[in-house]
Amino acid sequence: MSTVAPTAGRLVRFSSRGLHRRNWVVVVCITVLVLAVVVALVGSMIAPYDPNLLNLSNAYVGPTGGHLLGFDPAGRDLLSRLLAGARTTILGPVAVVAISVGVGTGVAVAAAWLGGWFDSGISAVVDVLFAFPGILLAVLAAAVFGPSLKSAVIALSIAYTPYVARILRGAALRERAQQYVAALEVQGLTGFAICLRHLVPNVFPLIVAQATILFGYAMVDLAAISFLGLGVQTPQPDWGVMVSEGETGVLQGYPAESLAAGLAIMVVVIAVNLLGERLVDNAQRSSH
Amino acid sequence: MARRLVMLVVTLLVSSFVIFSALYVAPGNPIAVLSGGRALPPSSIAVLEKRYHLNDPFLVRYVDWVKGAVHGDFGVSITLHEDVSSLISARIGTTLELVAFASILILLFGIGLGLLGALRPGPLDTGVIVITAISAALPAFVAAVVLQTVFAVNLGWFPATGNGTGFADQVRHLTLPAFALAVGSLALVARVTRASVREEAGKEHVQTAISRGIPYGMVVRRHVLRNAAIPITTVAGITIASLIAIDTVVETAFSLNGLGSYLVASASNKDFAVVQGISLVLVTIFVVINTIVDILYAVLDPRVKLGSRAQ
Amino acid sequence: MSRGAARAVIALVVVMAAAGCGKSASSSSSPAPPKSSSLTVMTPAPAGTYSSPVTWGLYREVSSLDPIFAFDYPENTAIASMCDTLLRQSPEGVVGPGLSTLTYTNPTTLVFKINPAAKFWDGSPVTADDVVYSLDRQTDPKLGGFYGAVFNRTKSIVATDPSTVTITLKQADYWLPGELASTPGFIVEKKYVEAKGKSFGTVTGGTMCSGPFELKTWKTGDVLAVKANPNYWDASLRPKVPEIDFKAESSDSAATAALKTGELTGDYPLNISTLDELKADPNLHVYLGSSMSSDAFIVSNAKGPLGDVRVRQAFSLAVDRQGFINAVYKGAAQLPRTLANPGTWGYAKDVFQKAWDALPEPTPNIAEAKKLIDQAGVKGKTITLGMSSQLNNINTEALAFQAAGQELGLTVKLHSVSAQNYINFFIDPNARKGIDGFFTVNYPDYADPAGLYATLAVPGGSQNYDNFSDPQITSYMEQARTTADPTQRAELMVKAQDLIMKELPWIPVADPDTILIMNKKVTGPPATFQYMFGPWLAKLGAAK
Repeated sequence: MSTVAPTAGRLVRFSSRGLHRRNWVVVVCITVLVLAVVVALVGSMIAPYDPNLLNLSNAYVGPTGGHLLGFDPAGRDLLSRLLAGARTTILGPVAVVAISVGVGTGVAVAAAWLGGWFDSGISAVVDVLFAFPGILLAVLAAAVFGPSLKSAVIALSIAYTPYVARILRGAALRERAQQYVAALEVQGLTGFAICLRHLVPNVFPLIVAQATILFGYAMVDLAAISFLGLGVQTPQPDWGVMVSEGETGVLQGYPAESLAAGLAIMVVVIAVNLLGERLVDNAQRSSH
Repeated sequence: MARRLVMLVVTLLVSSFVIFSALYVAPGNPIAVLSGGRALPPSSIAVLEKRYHLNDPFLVRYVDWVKGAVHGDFGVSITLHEDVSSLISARIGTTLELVAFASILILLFGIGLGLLGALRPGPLDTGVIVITAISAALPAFVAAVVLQTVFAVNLGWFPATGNGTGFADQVRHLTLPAFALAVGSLALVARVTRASVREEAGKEHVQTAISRGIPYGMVVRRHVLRNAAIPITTVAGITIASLIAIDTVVETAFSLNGLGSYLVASASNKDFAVVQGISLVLVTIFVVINTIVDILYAVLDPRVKLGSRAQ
Repeated sequence: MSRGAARAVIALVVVMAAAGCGKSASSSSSPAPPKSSSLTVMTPAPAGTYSSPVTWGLYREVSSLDPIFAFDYPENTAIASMCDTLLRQSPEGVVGPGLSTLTYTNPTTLVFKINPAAKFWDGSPVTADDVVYSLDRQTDPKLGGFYGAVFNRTKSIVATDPSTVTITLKQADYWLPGELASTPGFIVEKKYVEAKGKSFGTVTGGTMCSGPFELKTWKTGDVLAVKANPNYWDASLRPKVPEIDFKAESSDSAATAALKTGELTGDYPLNISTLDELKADPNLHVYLGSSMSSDAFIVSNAKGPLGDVRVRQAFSLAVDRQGFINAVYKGAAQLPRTLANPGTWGYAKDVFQKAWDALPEPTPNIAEAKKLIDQAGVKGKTITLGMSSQLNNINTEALAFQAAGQELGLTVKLHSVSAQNYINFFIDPNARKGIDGFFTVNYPDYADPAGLYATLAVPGGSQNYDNFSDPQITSYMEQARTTADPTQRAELMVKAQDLIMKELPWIPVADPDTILIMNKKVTGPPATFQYMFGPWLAKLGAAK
């Protein structure tokens, strides 16, 4: 992940076509994401079979009977595992985004408002945190605390906070320079009140846009960490774990598990990316 | 320039401090962490205490560790009873080759596709947009599985796993991994290239030059590309730096014997000294590349003075 | 743009779906494939010398070349190519002369005469001092070797002259010769070990032995290379290949790919999920031979639910062994009527065969198992299984046990460690904390069921982690150890075995075959388990 990535939306200008052509894309994306969240929350309940029930004589068997996607190498129903696995795959990144956006925004707004040595100090810390790519920090966390979803989420949150902080600091500085802020100060409002009730709501579109884009990155990074065996642990049906579990199958000519899980990840990430770009565009327009 | 170098050193010091302190953040006493929770005979414990100066104050230990690291001494692996530095030097070649190979692919296809899309609008441009949309959403480990399935298992054109021996064989073994590593990242380079080339091409002075009758090719080279080079170089450099982290995933997926896969293995083996050593090496490479990109950006853009802040 | 992207995604889905087609459905029960009786002992003899180095696969890196710490496949495979044992096991499991010959002065006095031609790689002769030193190292508590218990009936080991060693016993011990034909009997050079001190057996210290191959280079992450010793004292086993490079393959897929491309010349995998594919490969030969190994679940915590014999029996009745054998061994294993593999019948075969025939084939009986669980009153309790998700067979086995446990109404948790760390379950009490048991593919040191049972069914056994003790079993085993006549010894062992199969200190899962996979360019070594203990890789040579 690069420092430029969250601002990528800014650099890509879509030629202005009719609004009606873009709307259906947004609708599809939101539908996919809502579906993903619903499955994440109730996946294991709506799964047709027990995702953990194995029958070794069914290993690698293709779609048959009520098993729409066939079986995995241990003879477990693939569709059920996919549905049950949505939980960690989707809710993990939600946690990462919540923490990094929450902390990042708070820190950035405070730095922009207070300025001076506080701002310089925070900026220095942020600059240094950029030295740790999310995955490396997660590997270190796994070595220190033992591999688990929790250690991966915390590590990624720490790694993503600087990106949020940098973007939000710039936006907060621009807001602070606006006329209405000076007016509110004159009226006697405290800095905290101004930030909370006026500044933050005005950069809210940007926050939401960044959160959406970060969600895509967090989902891929967390799935990669689980793929490495340092996040969600097998035999939990997380999609990243499933790609790794399916590897033996891939080399024997039965790539169903890996491909199904990989495709699921990609569909959600594409939806999130497309939606995120739209939101960034809107955030650009609303801030000028 | 000096400021950036100072930032580089400070970042490295702080990162090394974080990596070093991780040993003490871990639950349990340092000996337990270093041994990965294994029961050790008293003689081995004495060796660990001496080597890590566990009876000295914290900062003294840190300084000793950094001094050792600078001289290439990263401690001993608890599972293989071997110097971490030799374990690293045996594997760093593979990682650097893979990252270099992937970087070439990113520059070639990323910039190439971006240029194609920007300079030849129409169906070609649409094609480029579609390709970059898909590749942007393709995580490296999914790309690895797809490439293995199609090109290794089904078509048999490339080996599915392993390092290979000898230069030509190694290149063959690293081809699929390099593509897996490059595919997710080249989308961003392509899009930035396309966007900034288009923006430059639409600028007034370029339009003026074209209307004056200067050949299109010369206009592209002299006006468009030179100015577009700045954001392209920046994003390409940052993307290449980010390969360091994704490389762990690709090396694991293709069973390559590199630093990334060994970092993951030693984390799951609870071989702490190795984890610290490799983390330090990888973070250093990452920070150095980012600093080079920063400096390059300042050099290329005459508007940005080398002493000013990046933002 | 987005429309095009959407179309592209749909196309991608179709392609991936097409690629992802699996096998056709099989019947829901686990059919047993016909047991092939075509087990090989020796592969065809080579026609001549093979000119290039041979690469041989291991499932993980060799951790030490010191025989006192060798108790797993990678270490034994490498050490057996380089070092000699005091006595030797043939590929059929018969114990005979090795570095020395054995004569009995009386039941408690064993005299070993060292072959005068035996020399270490540095040219020094193998002397009685070296033998005494090597055997003493096995029992030195300061060194912490694995095989001390083997010598617990030994009173003294003395060099009675430069080429003779006399071992005096407190009590007759008819297991000792077999052990000395195995890992406890590897002889190393005294002056070399003393010179190297702590680094002996490590990457820095190496080793000094007398075998057909000599240590050339050892780089972790790369290869452990041994080169031919043209002056090997046993002329019948002088190597026909210049070098063997032992290489660790991180997974079934890596090993399979390497075998198919020829990067790996050969391998003795314990099990490999791609066995059918490898059998069909035109460049490879796959041989199955008799094995001494047993795939089993070790009960390590007597204080948990598995401490109750009814719970162990219930698990034994609930596990789907045939499904596991089909999935993991692809038919290269049989249902374990006894914990010890038929490949361990190195003597009195008829007695052991009769006992085997009288025992039932273990088939699942869930109803009976549930009854036992109710009687034991452990419904709803939790057990934790030690395993490694990185080792395919152990991962599948753990999942199968988890499924069985859950069917019986127990909660089964899995505690996974890395492949490199799996060995810690066997040697480190810390590693066993918090688990009720773990999986193993285990083996005796030589062809005798007693070799395996002694480590787990009597107090003080090196693999008896839960202090299992049954005085009757202990009595039979002690008597067997004192009995000279093989048939009588076998009958005592069978009695002990019957009790072991009832009380299940370990729960047997499968009795595998030895799998030997070789590139068609080479041939020669045995397809039996004795590759672990003798210089049999020296039989490798060119096929044409």
